[in-house]
Amino acid sequence: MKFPLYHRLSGVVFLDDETPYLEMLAMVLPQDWPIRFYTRMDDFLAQMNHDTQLWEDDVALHQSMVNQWYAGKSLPRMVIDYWRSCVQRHGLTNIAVVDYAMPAANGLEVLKATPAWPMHRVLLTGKADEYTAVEAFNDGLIDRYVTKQTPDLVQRLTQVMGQLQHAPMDMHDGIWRNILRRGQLMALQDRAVQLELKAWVKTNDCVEYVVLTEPFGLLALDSAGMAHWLQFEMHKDISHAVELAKVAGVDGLTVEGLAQGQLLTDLEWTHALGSTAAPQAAPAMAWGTGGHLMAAHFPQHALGTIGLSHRAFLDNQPERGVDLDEHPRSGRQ
Amino acid sequence: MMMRDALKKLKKWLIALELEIILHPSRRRLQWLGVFTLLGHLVCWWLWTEVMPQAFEDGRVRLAIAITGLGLIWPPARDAGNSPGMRTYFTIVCWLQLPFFFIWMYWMNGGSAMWMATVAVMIVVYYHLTDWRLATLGLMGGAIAAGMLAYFTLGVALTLPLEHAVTFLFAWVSAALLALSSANLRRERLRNSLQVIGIMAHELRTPVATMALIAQAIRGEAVATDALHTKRLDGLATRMDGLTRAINHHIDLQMANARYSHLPSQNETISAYELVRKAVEDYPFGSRRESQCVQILLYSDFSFMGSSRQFTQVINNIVKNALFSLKSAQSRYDSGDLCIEIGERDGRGRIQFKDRGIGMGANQLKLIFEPFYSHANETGHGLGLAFCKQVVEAAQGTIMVHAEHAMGATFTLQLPCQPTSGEEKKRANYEVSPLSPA
Repeated sequence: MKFPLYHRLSGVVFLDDETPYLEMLAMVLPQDWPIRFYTRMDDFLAQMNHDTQLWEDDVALHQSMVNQWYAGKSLPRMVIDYWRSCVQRHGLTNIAVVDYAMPAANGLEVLKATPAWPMHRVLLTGKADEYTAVEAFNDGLIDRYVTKQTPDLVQRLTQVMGQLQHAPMDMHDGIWRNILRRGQLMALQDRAVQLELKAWVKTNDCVEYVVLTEPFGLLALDSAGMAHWLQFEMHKDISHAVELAKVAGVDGLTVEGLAQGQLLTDLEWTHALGSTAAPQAAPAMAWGTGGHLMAAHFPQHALGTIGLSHRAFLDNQPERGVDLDEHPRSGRQ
Repeated sequence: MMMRDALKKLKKWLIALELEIILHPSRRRLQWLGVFTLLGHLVCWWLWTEVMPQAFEDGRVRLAIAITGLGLIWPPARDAGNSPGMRTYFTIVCWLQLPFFFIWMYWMNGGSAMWMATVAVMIVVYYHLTDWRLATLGLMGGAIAAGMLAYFTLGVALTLPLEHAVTFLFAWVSAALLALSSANLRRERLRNSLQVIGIMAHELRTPVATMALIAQAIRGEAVATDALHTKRLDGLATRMDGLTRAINHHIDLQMANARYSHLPSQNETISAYELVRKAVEDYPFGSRRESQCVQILLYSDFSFMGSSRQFTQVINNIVKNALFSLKSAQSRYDSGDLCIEIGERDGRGRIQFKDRGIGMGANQLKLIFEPFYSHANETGHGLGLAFCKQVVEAAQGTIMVHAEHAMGATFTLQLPCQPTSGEEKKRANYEVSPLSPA
């Protein structure tokens, strides 16, 4: 298990030559995921190419944020500005589910023709094609395969897509990994910490987040578009935090709480944001083996809704259906 | 190249294919063989000693071989038909009483004409009982063993007259060739039936998987209480009906195709337009768009004699092939991607199916009306067009195809017209798409 340093809910595309089958999948798969359904390989590939282009632009944006941070700009502010302005990041395809037995080309041939973007690939197979699927899996062509005849197909697909949704996105992960210090990375690799983080993300209905350094913490967006700051502090650095609070003129009671590891302040966060508001304190949760990582939650209501929320994006989607948005660039005109 | 292919085939026949030690290993057949062994040897012994005495007979040997028949009549295990034990026993009994015993008797009787004929018949019988490779080996082994035994018993050199040698050779070559070809036929039949079963399974797989999804959706609806709940349930029921119809359609079509070689003859007057319209209307299209790509172009209607049920299946087959071809070409199912034209000229009626699918190469064209030829990998058994040809020709018509690779295909049925009624004449020169208001 790996905790992604950058995560957001991405889109799923299905390719299968049977329209009635896809129509039923459209009806029964969870409605809170943006899923597109195609019966024609050309439309599917056009969508993949289109989204890959947007993904590449997105990675460039992330890299530029990090570069500007090296040049002295505030990372939290850049991330929030990015979330506010970059609407097209919602629903970009990161999972492709392709049927194996199709008349024009088999599923593996189609997957081989998809752009060289590290997205997740799932093969839908019949029982008889299982051997082919296992071979493809061993060759690294696919991440998962699901047998069409499995009695709990919907649960199985939902489970697989859920797992892949929460797997790290390699390109983004690489960028954000670089900014973290070794000690911070080590703290996040603790399995107990990762479980706590996942639970926290789920409880707060966060659909997108990034782990930042200086200040060290997790900046997240919930599905309604509200921002949350989860301040991290290494237990061994408490004395440093106490000093900082004293210098900033934080009241004695809070400093006492800080020193005892019961509270954390958002001093660094407000500073990085360039806010003039008085620093807040929140109860600290001690995570990981021996509680070496402390975390405190600071909801950012003052920032309001950040851009187009994921929920609003889903609400704006047309009703699900098969071959709804055929790509104008593709196929014979 | 040809040499290498021939060697490869020979290697496959000789080594790769599994031995069929007992041909048709039914319990009943084995029991009859046992009875034949038991009584046959005793009756022969009586004939050749009492009725038509021969130079040599041995009652003890005859009795010993007759007793081996008991093991075939009452095998120890219940499932003795094809058990490993029975296979070994059968091989030994056959070898002992056929090549070994008969050839030994041939030598012991000084190569008499009666025993020469018996040995020739034995060779043919042996090849009908066991795998031809095993029979060949058994025959060679039997001849050597029997020859040696006879040589030691008689103590004189054995001589085989040339006519006997030629007769044995003739019996051996014809028996071996017949056995080889019937082994191939059996294998082919098995392969074809398995293929048809595979196709049925393939055709039904997706509808059944879709049914499972409908069940899932119904389960979801069981807890829903909103205003659209009833409407959604109704939609699911409609889908279920549609799927059931599609499954039945597949089954009917495949069953009709499988009976292509013995069609019941049935004569009724069929209106070409009505036939096509009804067949297309009842066709279980996968989607609305798919159905809308079919266009019927009526120049003039005509009637012909035939079985409307069989001709409906002919149209179903051709439409099915065309839709598959369109799907393979990733069609967008524009109107007219499958166009069916109906017309008449000089007393010959014509129904033409033109699709804009992937078409066919010249090599495929030559073979498509042959039974069990299919160019759709694992999705067709190649009976569809063989069936169409049979039905059309039974109605004194012809079926033709014109196609090029990537350029679509045109199937043309030409049928002898019956005198037309006034109503059919009225219906002319208009274009209809059966599933949209034309």
